[in-house]
Amino acid sequence: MKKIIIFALIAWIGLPILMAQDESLTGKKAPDFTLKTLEGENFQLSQNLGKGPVVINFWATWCIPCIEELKHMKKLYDSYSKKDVQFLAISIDDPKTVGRVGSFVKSHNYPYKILLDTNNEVIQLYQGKVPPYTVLIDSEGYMVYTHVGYRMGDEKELEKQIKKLLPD
Amino acid sequence: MTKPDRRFLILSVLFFLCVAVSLPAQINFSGNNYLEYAYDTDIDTVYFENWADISLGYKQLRLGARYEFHLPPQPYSQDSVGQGISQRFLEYKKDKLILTFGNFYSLFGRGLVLRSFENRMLRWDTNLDGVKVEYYHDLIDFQIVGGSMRDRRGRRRDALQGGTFTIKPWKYFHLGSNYVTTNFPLKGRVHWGSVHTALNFNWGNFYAERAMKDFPEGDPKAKAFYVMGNIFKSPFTFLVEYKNYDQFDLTERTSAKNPPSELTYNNPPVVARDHLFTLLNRHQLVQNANDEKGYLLELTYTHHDQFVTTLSHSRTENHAGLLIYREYYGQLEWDPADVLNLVGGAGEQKDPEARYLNVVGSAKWGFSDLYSTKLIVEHQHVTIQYNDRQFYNQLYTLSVDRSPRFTFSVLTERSTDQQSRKDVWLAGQLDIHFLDDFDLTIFGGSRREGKVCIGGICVFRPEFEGIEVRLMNRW
Repeated sequence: MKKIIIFALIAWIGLPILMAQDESLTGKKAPDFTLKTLEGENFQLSQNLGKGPVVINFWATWCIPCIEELKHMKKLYDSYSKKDVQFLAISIDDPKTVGRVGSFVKSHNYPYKILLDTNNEVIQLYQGKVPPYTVLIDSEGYMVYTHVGYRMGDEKELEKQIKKLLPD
Repeated sequence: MTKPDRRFLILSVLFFLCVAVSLPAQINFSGNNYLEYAYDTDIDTVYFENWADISLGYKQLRLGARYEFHLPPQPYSQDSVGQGISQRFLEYKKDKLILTFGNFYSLFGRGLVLRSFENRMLRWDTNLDGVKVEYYHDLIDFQIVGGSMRDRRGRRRDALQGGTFTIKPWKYFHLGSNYVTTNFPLKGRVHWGSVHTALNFNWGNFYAERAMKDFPEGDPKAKAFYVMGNIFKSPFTFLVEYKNYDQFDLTERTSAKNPPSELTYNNPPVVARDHLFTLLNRHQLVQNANDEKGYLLELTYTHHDQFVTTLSHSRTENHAGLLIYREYYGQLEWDPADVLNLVGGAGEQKDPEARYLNVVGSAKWGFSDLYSTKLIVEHQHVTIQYNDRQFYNQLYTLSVDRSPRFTFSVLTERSTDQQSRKDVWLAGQLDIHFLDDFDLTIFGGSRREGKVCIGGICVFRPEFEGIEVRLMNRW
């Protein structure tokens, strides 16, 4: 038990203080990545920054809260995509279920840019472990908000954060 | 911790301290920590596992490490008691080129040839330790890897070498090939590979991969074929998948080491539906890429975005024609209002052991801006094939959410299976989100034993009664 307590103190308090002096991911540069779109083209994040804020949502066809979140995020898309906010929905479906992504997206009429992180390497790059996981990036490429999970109403907090990044 | 790990750690810390002192603003530090503590009151046993990942970025360079601590791990994990640096890597990224030295994961095509990945729920981690070169371009993509893979007990075997190459002469058409070679100690040098093609249009997409294996003399011929097609014609979408895997489970089994272990190089698509309900997922197909063929058909109809109907059927049999798994399933999703979501489904699953009839449903209602509640009801009628024994399982989950702070759930399962040790399991779970980047889950009560399957890979989680705490944080 003593070992556990010592380890826990190091892991939760020591490491963040030693490594970052800031226990939050926000304010850090968003790591660059290249992923395939649903259409099979390459999408590189760094080539798509600078146009406005970017909302990244990691999801999967087998994840119930992800499906609820994608549904509610549609309203944000309708309001903010014309204000140069990009919405990237990154599917972490593995080779078993990635074949379903196309028909799933079309049947639910999701308007987002769909990217495929089939081996879950990009979600790990963003320090995420489980979907849904949302990251908001400003036009300079810095992370300004991250959130794991979805509860009905979470999209309101995301909207607040998006509004802060847009000119009045 | 081994000597090279120690050297790597000391050098890394010194290097980054030097850089951090001179250029603090340009260093990007990030990381995450995942902790799982469980106390099983039934058998008076504590499990404690922790994974800490750190990543330090400076311009085009990224250095990362993982520290693991198992004291002891969960019973379904094959990790041993202990602690130490389990992964470390250095990555260099310049435009479309990425070089990685150290530990990494890799996927070729749809996994028929190579899939090195981590899934913490399964306690599965087959990372490679070596070198990876990736290049992504509008016309070509390639990846070359060399390194040794980790088996489930954390040991590494002979190095493998391989590569994947894709050419995209036309926006809608891709053609590629994958190749891997390694030494199987009991068999000698083994080569395997595949060719694959993809077509992508607005009205649908198509993917096919054909894999072959060249084993030393005396081994049976091996081949694998996977094809997938999607057609979108509003308001319908149609998905078809087909598989034929013959002697293509690329698992190296060893009995020479104590305890014996397995190293699986590939993980082809399982071609069966993943469900959103617990009981439907409890009896999934366990993949055997040595002898199975089958298909999945799925039709979806969408009415005004608020009403989605899905019909699906999948079937897997072995090459002798024996049924391994069959499923019929239908589901309705209906959003009568913005704050109300209803899902109902029914289906039949059959495997050589039993037949399962399922009826499931869920209702979610947002009763204020920040509060919502959800009820999930699942019923499963089971008939055991060889003795016609029948029983049912019933699962209820009631939860209340408060955005974005917490969720409180009550879960209860009842079974009339007389061979089961208990007939009722009851638990409460609290999920809390705090300090922006912390997520805590506290589970208390009892949980039934059962298979947990992801992508055809299954682990058996024993029954649990006690307290479980999971804490995840990112920085």
